[in-house]
Amino acid sequence: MAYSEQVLDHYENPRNVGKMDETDAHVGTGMVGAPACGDVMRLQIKVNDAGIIEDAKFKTYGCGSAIASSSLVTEWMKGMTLDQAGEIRNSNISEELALPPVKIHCSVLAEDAIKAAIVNYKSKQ
Amino acid sequence: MDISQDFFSCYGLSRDFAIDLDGLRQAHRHLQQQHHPDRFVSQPDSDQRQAVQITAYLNQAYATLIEPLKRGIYLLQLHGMDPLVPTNTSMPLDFLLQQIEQQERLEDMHQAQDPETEMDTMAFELQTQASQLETEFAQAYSSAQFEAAETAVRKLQFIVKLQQQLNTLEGVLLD
Repeated sequence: MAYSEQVLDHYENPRNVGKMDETDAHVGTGMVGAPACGDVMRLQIKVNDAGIIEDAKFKTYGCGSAIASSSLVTEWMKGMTLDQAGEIRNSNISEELALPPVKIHCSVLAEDAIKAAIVNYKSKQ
Repeated sequence: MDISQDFFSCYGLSRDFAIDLDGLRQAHRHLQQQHHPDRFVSQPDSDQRQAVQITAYLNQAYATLIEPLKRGIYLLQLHGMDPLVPTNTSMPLDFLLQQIEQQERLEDMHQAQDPETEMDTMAFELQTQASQLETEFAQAYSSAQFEAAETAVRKLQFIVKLQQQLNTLEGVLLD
């Protein structure tokens, strides 16, 4: 199966790979895993006092599509409000990356990671 | 032979996680010989086709039951569950943290001073984890706690993937 150019771009040059301090009250951490492929994803957001996501980082252990999905959403989320980020759907991700049907679950993983990060951030406020 | 029956029934096994593996191997060999397509070359086309179908069914049945992970997934599927449904991405947090640690360990293996020993240690730990999860699954399944059984088999899927990654890495680093 061939990866799309968009996937390859994010896979070869992933944006925002890294880790933030989980204990920071401004940081929300979302962790999810897909048993079907054994992929694990950690997504973190840093939210300022105005409720805007000013930074996002991820670390994904998985296939190219899972890495590309998380890389893409970290770019998208910067500058968004929590509500806007919470509206990102896996279909937006899979369309942007032209994911084939067998890889849709990678975009589901990214959507769920965003939600989990937001829930974690809110639980700290 | 009825190829619409479940894989346990075709070998005369009861539908359980703990199965007699030697018994399975013997029963499989026996059925495989009995239905081998080579035995039907002088028979009508329909018999030959049937032998091929039965052989394909037996291969799938054996491959499913011989592997603990596949056997566990199959048992839950017979129960109407789908433990690997891609839309369920929530796993216990401590388990995911452990997964990330283990993935980082694999990544760092390239810089290890003694990768062979490190990889042996990790292989042993993964095998221990896998055995524990198999025990957890067996206990949960036999006491009809299907959700606990599902959690155990979902975790086992991650461990088996790590084992495969470690095997691949061993091939790369030790050659």
